[in-house]
Amino acid sequence: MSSTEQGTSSAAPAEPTTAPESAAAPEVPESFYYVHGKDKVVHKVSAGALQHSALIHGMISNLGYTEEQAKANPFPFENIDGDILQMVVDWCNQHKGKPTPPEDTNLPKQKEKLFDLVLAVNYLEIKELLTYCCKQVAMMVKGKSPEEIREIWMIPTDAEDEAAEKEAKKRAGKEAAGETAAAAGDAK
Amino acid sequence: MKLSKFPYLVQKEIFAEMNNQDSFSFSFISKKMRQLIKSTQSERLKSISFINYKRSQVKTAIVGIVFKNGEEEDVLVLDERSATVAGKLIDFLYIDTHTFRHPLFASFHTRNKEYAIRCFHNCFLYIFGDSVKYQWFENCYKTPIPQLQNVSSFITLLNIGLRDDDMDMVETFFSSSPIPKWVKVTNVTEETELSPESKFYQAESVTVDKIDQTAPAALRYFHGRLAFLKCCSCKALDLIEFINRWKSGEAYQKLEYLQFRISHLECKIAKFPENKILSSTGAKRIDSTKKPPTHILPKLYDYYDQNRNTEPITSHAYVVRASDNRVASVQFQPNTFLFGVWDKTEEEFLKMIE
Repeated sequence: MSSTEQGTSSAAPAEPTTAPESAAAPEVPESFYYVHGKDKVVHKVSAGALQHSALIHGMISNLGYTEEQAKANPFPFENIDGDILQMVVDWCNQHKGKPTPPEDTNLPKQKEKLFDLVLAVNYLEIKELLTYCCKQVAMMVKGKSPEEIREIWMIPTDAEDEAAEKEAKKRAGKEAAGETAAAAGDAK
Repeated sequence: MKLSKFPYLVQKEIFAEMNNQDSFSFSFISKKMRQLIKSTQSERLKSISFINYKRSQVKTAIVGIVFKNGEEEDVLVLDERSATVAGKLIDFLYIDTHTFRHPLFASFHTRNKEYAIRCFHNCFLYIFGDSVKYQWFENCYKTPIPQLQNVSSFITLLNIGLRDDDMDMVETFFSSSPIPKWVKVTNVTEETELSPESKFYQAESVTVDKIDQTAPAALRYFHGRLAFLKCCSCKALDLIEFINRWKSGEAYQKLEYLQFRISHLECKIAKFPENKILSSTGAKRIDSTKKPPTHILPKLYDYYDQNRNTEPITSHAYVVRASDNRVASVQFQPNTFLFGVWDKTEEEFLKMIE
């Protein structure tokens, strides 16, 4: 298992402090978790950075893993390509504990990468990053004619939609007929 | 990148990030995209109150959206051409691809004009339904206004009848266009006269500014609700005939308001023969010690006029229509004759007197 670990501090969640109120609270050691995508490359990410993802934050909030347990149980996101997960992790790290800026210019310019990033970010429920991505996707069609938009986003024409619907109906009809025949065979 | 692969909420977020022009471009792609725009953009669509078609040149009209806060944005140019359009029924083009400030151009051949405009209008009807008003603003009589569902037309024509060929074209324009909601014609000359059956006289509101000595034909043939007429002089007989035809129910059944103004060329005050007109029409009078009610109505539209209402009529003189006992207040002012029809019988009208 390879790793892109970026920190070295302990992963154990902090014990509740019992210090008197007047004294300054001791610094809480940061905890880390591990995630991997389709490529199985494991990324070490701080709990603070992972707070951007509502999905992961919900998963880890009550786990109470030690460093060893966290390392031994990376969260698998098999539906996300490794390079896309890397982008997400980088973004979460960059924006850890900071207010998000109104724009993000570091998103991928290639259509397919951006598409995969949108799906990943939506799955991981990273609201701010999703907004940036959607802005970028919307920018792709800014000032474009309907025909150009159709090409960019591969939108079928009315005729293609109708043909697809007909085909789907035909298929459903055949399946229903097959099921009826099978049921009749069973009955015999 | 296939848009349909995105979950609905992501699609919604993408559309929310688009400007109005891009959203509209989107709705012209296919029926499914129109459905998507309608379902994902309900908040944006709710902020719009009018879809305006505005003639900008003889063969070009601009489609603008007017928001509830009064702001307006042009989203589409309908561009009719006599040459073929890249072998397509409708060819789309953005003129300024750097600033994106110009709206989308939709070009089509003249022979496909009706079809193309109806296609766009049907898109708007599908997306907005009855939640907005659709208006066509016309300032040229060389191209008829297309017959489109739920569209009210507002027509302003200047210098009518100044050239020999104008009147035939104006006649054809009105006969080929839908009945207008509002018409304003200015600088109309003496020889200008439309046929009495013209849709011009069926408009809900007409404004005629005539530059000769005779009363506008609209005084005789108007069928609508509001008329604002102006000419250089007027015969008492014209007004007597008008009032008597209204009283008998022979004409002007829908009339609610008439303003007849004399615009004297030498700026002298023109006085109507008030007593002669009132006595010839059997006008009645409210006791001069009593205060008559004031007749006022909202105007349908006037771009150049700041007054949103008709000039108030507070007059002791009134006439009664024989057929339904409805009352009309009659008022004479220097240069102006005002006639306001009440939605009240004589008995109801007299109860309003203080």
